[in-house]
Parts: sequence; structure tokens; C-alpha cells
Amino acid sequence: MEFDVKRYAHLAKIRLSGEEELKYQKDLEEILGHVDELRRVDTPKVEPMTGGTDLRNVFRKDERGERVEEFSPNFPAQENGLLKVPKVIDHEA
Amino acid sequence: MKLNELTLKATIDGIQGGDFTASEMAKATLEEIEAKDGEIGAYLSFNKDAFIAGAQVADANKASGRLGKLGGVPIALKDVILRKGFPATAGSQILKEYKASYDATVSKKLDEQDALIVGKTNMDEFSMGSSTENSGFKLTRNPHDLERVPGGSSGGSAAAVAAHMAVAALGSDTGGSIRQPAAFCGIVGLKPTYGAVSRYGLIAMASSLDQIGPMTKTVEDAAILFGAIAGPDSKDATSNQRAIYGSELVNPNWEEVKSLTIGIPKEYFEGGMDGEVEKSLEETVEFFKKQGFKVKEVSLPNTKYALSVYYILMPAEASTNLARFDGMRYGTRAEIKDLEELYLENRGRGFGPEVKRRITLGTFVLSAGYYEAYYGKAQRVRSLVKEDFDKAFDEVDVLLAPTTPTVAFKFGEKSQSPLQMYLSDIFTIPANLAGIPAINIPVKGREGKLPVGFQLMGKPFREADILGLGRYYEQS
Repeated sequence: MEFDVKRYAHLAKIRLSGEEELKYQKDLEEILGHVDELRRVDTPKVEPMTGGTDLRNVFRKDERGERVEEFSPNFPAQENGLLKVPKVIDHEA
Repeated sequence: MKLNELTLKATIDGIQGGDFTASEMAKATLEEIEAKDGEIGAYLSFNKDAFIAGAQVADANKASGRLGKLGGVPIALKDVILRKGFPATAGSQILKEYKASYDATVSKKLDEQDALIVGKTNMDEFSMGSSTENSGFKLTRNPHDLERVPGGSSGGSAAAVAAHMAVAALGSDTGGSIRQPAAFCGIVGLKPTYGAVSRYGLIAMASSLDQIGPMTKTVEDAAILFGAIAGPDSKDATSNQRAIYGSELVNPNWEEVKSLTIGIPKEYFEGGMDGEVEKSLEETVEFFKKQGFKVKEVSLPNTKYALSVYYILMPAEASTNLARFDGMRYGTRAEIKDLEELYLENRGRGFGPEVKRRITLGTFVLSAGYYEAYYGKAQRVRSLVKEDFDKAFDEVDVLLAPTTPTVAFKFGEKSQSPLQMYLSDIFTIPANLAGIPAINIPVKGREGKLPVGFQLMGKPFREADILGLGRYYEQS
């Protein structure tokens, strides 16, 4: 297994400094080395446990809960009562 | 004895009986915080005005005969639980400006019963850690020895209760984050059955493992507080309809408690414990034998894989849950035009080292090509861990084990090696994987020494068994 911390940090959209890269590469190799013991466990017929316990579907009406005025103070940028995000589409017409 | 040193039960009785008022209790608690918290550092924030106003409301309700069941009890909240209008940082710089826009279900339940929310307690960032050293803000010191950690991640809540800066607290437990700090600080900490307490308004770390639970001075207090916050909730689809508890939680049926069979899972006792912890555990097992309980050795053969399973599933779930912290929704946003640059910058600067490590690890185990070998495999071994418990509970009612391998360690002792730190949770993780209730109870007779705790694990939704047995021990 070749684990490259740079690749996965980038996929997770986290910038690491050169120093962090070295440290986390070593830390995560150590952790992955430990969890590799699971390869020894025989599990061909074992069903995966995918959650806590007794999960079932729960439905509710699709109704508005929180009002925008209640959570908007936490939003980093606003304009005329609207939440503002950076422009992501920048193509020439 | 100062009022703030009382138990939750004695506080309720004292206020209900008119011996003292909620306002007097609030004043005593504030004085203690002002005198001690500069040194201990349990709280990240507290709202003095809201606290005092809450006490006045409780006193008014008492006067008009409408006082709720937790009337006037000062309770601290781990800073990962939302309280409307209060900060909720989850111990992270990335949320340092955030103020909760709604109440967690547990906060609402505390309100409805006239409890007083004191403030928000320090923790490892996003609950990732076992010493509270990973807080993005400050250290919390263990009230029993200021050179040592309080445990974590609910270290602030544990220290606040141990130092009488709150009568009780709520924490959250994903792999031991209630029980381990409770053991280090010499208090009681209950991780309920998965689905017993609503997670609505709990900032999620690993959604299939997280549970909110009480951290208290006595087992009786834990039973009362657990009863007050438990129950199904339409706002949390993983909360469970079975989480309906009768009066036996708080008023144990002693005959039934005496008839419980206690299992000793041998794998928990095969090395790994410090001498001092081992000796305390042997004394505890001896106590139950002498009291005439049926004590039986059982085996949980896959428990040795629990740590590895946990360190795949938890980072996988955390990396997914923490994707929302991208600089768009909360806090400050760097002035950068390029979207990817903006994400990289916000997340790189906003998260601390342990969070970055776990998100990166979680992204790896979920990535194409490695998913089945890591995440899929871990889910299958999780089934085996749970099956071990199911089989053991065919033979016994309750399992008795250590909570932690050591007593509270010193600052910096384990923070250089993540793997060493992770081993602190080796005895607590299996209960989270299996979804069963587990409680830390301080070993008695250790006055003047560092606390040691033992753990009782029970069948799903049988908190009454472990609470009852714990109270039997506590009162003997």
C-alpha cells in the first residue's frame, strides 16, 4: 500500500504545510500499520454493520423549520438580506 | 459544605424543600467558577446574566408551585451541544465566531425542567482526543492534580463537575469521551445506548457512534439526569422508540439488581493495565463476589480489533461530517477568488492538527480502490465485535471492565504520538461500536490518590441494570 498524505489531504480540501506533510505522513503510516491487523480477520460471510442499532426509515413532511433570519448572523457574507457566496461560474457567454 | 458541592439529588431536594433557593445555588456556583476556573480552565464561555436570570425564573416557578424536575440545578454543557444564542465552538477555531441559532433537544429538555445552564465547557477539537489538549483554545487541568490532563474529549465537563463548578454536566461519547475523562477526574459518566438520547443539536463527529450523556458526582445523579434527557425525538432519525424508561432508572428494584449476573470479559484483563488500575479492578470484582453476586468469566474474542475498527470508521464518518466546514456557512471567509483555493485556505488554517489528520485518514479509507479493504472490512469486523457482546449477554446481564488502562497522565506525555493517545480509549471503544450503554464509576477508597474508574456495560436499553448495580456499589 502506498499512502500519500498530500493526495488525500488535497482530496479533503485541506492545505498542509511541508512540515505538516512530513509529520502526518509518518503518523498516518503508523496508524495504517496498526489497522492492517484487520486483514487477518476472516469475514467472507459477515454482513457489514452500517450504523448504530435498529435503523429504519423515518419520514417527515418537507416543511421549513428554521427561519433564515435565525441562522444568517453566522453567515460570513450577506447582501440585501441574501446569503452571499463566491462566484463559481466564470465562463464567457 | 458549600451549596455547589452538593449532588444533583441533594440540590433538587434542597430547592424543592425550601432549604435554599436556585439563586443561592447559582451564586455559590459562580463564586466557585470565579475562584477556580482561572486555574482549571473548564469553561470556554459562560453567560453570567442568563445563568442568574434562569435562577430567578426557577425561584419564581417554585413560588408558584410549577418548578420543573431539575429546578435550579446548575448544569454545564460540552461546547459541542447547541444552546440557542450561546457560542458553540466544538473546541475549534473554525467555529470561534459561531453562535447557535437553535437549541439542541437536550438543551430544550433541560430548559423545560428548569435546569440552569451554566456555560459551555472546553473539549478536544470536534471531540477528537483523549486529553482535551487538542482544544483550539486552551488547556483544561485535572482538579486532582493540575499537572495532569482531565482526559477527553469531554475534559472541561469532567473538570467542571469534579471541581464543583457545576453540579452536573453533559458530555458526548464517540469512543470514550464521557467515560475516560470521568475516570480521570473521579466522577460518574454514562454513555447511553445508541439512540437513547437525541443527537439533534450535537455537532456530529461520527454519527453511528456519538451519544450525549450525563457526567455527575454520583450514580444516582446520572440516573436522574439521564432520565431527564432520554427519549425518542422526531428530529433525530437515529433516536429509538425503545428509549422509554420507567421509574426503575431512579428507583432501582433492589431484588432485581441483586439477581444480576456479572460477566468479567477476560480479554480486558489480559495485560495493558497499569498495576494501580489492575489492583483497583481486582478489588472491585472481589467486592461484588463478597456481596454474593454471580460473577462469571466471559470471552469477547474480537474485542482486540475494536481499536482498529474504530480508527477506520470514526475518521471516515468524521471526514464526511466535517465537509460542511468550508468557509461558506460559518465564521470568517478568506478573500480569495478561486473556489478551490478558498477551501484549501479556510480548512487548512481553521482546523487543528488532529482534525486534519483524521479527515485525511477518513478520506483515504473511503477513497476508490481502498474503500472495501478498509471501510468495508471495518464494518464487517464491527459486526463481529457486536456479535461477541450479543453472545456474552446471553450468559450474563452486565459486564465489568476497566475504563482506562492508566490513571490521568501528564500534559505532553502522549501528545507526540497519535497512536499512543488512541490506546487510552482501548477499553471504552467496544461499547460504542456495539451501541450498548456503559458507565464509568469511581473506585472507592482512593482519597488523596489519583482516581481510578471501573466500567459497567449493559444490554441495549438496559441502563437500569448498570445504574442499579453502580448504585449498589456506591451505597455499600
